[in-house]
Amino acid sequence: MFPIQIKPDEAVRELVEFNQKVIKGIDSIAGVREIDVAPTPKEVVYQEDKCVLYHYEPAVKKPCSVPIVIVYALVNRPYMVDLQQDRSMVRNLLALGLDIYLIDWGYADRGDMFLTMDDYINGYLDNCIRAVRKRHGLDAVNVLGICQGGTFSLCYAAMHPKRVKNLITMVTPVDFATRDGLLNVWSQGLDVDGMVDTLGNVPGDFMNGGFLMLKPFQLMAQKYVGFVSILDQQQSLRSFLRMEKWIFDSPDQAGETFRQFIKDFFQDNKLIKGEVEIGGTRVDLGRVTMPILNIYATEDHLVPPASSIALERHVGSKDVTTVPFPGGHIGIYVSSRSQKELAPALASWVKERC
Amino acid sequence: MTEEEQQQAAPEAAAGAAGDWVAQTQAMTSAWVTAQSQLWNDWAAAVQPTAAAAAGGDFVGDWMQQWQALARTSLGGWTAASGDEARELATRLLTGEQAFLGFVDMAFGMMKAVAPKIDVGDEWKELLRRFLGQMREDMLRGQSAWASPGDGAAATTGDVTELWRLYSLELQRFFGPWGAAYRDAAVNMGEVAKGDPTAIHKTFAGFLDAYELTFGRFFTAPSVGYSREPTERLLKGFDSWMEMNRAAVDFETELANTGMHAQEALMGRLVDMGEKGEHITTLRGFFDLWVDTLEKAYYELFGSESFATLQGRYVNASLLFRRRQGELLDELMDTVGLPGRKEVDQLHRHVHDLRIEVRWMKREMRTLRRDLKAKAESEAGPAQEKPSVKPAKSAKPGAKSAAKAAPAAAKRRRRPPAADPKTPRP
Repeated sequence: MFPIQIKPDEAVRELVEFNQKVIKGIDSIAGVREIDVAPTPKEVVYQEDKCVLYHYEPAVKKPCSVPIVIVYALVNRPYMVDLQQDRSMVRNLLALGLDIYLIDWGYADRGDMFLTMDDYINGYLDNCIRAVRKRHGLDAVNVLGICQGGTFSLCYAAMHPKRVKNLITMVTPVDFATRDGLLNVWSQGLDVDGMVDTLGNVPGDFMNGGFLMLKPFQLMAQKYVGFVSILDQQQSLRSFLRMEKWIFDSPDQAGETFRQFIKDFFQDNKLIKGEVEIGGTRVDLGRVTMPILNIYATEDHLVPPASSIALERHVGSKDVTTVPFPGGHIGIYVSSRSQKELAPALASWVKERC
Repeated sequence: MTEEEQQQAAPEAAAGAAGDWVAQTQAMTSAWVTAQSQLWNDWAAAVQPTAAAAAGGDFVGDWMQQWQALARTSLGGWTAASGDEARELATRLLTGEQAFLGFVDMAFGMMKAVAPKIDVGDEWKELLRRFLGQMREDMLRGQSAWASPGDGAAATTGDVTELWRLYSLELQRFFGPWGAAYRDAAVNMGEVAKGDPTAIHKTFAGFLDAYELTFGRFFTAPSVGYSREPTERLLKGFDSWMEMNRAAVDFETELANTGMHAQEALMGRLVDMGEKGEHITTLRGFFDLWVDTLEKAYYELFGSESFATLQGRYVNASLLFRRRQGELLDELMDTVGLPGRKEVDQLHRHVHDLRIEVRWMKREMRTLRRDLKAKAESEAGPAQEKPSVKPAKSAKPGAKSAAKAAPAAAKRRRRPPAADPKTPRP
């Protein structure tokens, strides 16, 4: 039997309803003046160039004595961890008694094109960690690295193991040679030197174009067709808008950092070979001996699970906990399930080791 | 809202919103939305009796296109007072809608071709195959329209004369605004300075002469003698532009081929569904199946090394072309005594190096101060206890780090790294 049994009159009705929703939806969207994100109260405690270190207002009287410093990726903005009140990993962790700091790298401009990974990791990141250590009178703090920020944190922990008490990595690429990651495959054909020499900084839009290409029809067409059905729900609409804001809020990438990250990590997979050098220091993952909690997303299309799981095979730590989380690269922070399960798991792991 | 009510409401809204542009926009938007809803309702009512016939016609193509055009025209007014994100989302929403409606158009076309034959017992699989074959041809036609007119064909056939002409046009477009900008700047400067307009005119004419003498002659100059270097750069730019176009054609061809494979896969899935007795009863259901099939087909393509090579070639060629353009532009800027990208980047480099040096000096000073303090404390007398390296766990924010006193910190002293030889200076 012919599989398409769409009756013309019903199709017409479906179309009419669809377009009516679009009309009403655009009316709803047009009423939105500003998209509010990052609602959890925080203060600036350290600043250097464009890099800003925030401290979140603790939610309990006596938070965990060893704070967590969240290191986000250079790609996209860190407010993903505090998108809105009911979708905020930060808020959940604060409620569970943790003390949280967050590094915001800022928006790199042409004047930042020569910033290297050494500048980011041994410069800004180390200075932020130093500022937190000083505030708390500690030798070492907990570091939570996300995505590329996780890779940076791993490098930092390898070069400065005494300053990291516990390391938490989330959706962090470690083995860049896994074939199930499109970004890994695509990077092989890129003339990175040519790109950086031409563009200076790599535009955020270029990066976004690449991310959209990973699932072009879902991300550029189907998503918005599905979106029509929630247009009349103010809460859902605002959540969608926040997510859209985050997705397209993509800073340019400092050229020299991009050059090294793509060449050494993506193209030559030097991290797990122990061949990465940052500021003249070799990054030896064997020196990462502190306890590690490694969380990956089982449906991650940006950082394949295999790329993250590889961490446990290459670090020197004897205390590595690898946790799969059902969902995608972004869902791990904003999904309903994440709100209920992720923060408690993370908090209890940290508290056991502080 | 009836027509009469609308007529009454409009002046009231306008009067109430006088002086408040946000409210005014809202009122206009609201009236427009109401009218649109009414339009769709009326249209639905009108089309229902003949829906079966309409499904086989071009109603989607005509009506949807008109509505889309209207919606896009009105989008600016709709979202005039909205935030940036809302405005961009509205645009993307309409784009998504357009994709859906385009698909619906295709689906209706398919049903038009297939549905009447089913009733008379024709073989639907063959009909479906024929329809998808037609769609493939449409896609091929569409593919040639993706490239800018003439570019793709010329690049493929290697028509150098045509390419040279196109490249010249490209360059003229590229440099044209610069000439206009400088012209305007010269005029403005003259007005501001209240100087001699004749002199300003002469300056401007001189600039144009310089422009002609430099880039104007490149087009015909041989690659020898005084102008050899600039001509070489121009020729390299031409080569890079040709390569970019070739790469673009190959890239797009591969995408189009995959699109065709996806249609075949869609047919396969439909046949499977038909044989299992499964049905699709909504346009949205069919759309989702289509997207899922496309996504899988393209994922397979995108994951291949051949695609990575193809994509890399396209991106790299585009960047090389841009780099060549930049070099020519730098040349032009140098000719008129203005700093170009290269010079500004050199300044950025110097500032960056200084910034890094200051950072390391600060660290060095911090370490020295700490060592001096530790030394002073140890010399103050044995009564002083040696500071503990490990601080108490209960330390509060703001507490002084005991580790500060550790003389071992000297071991952590670092110097600014030498410039990375792999990182060429501009």
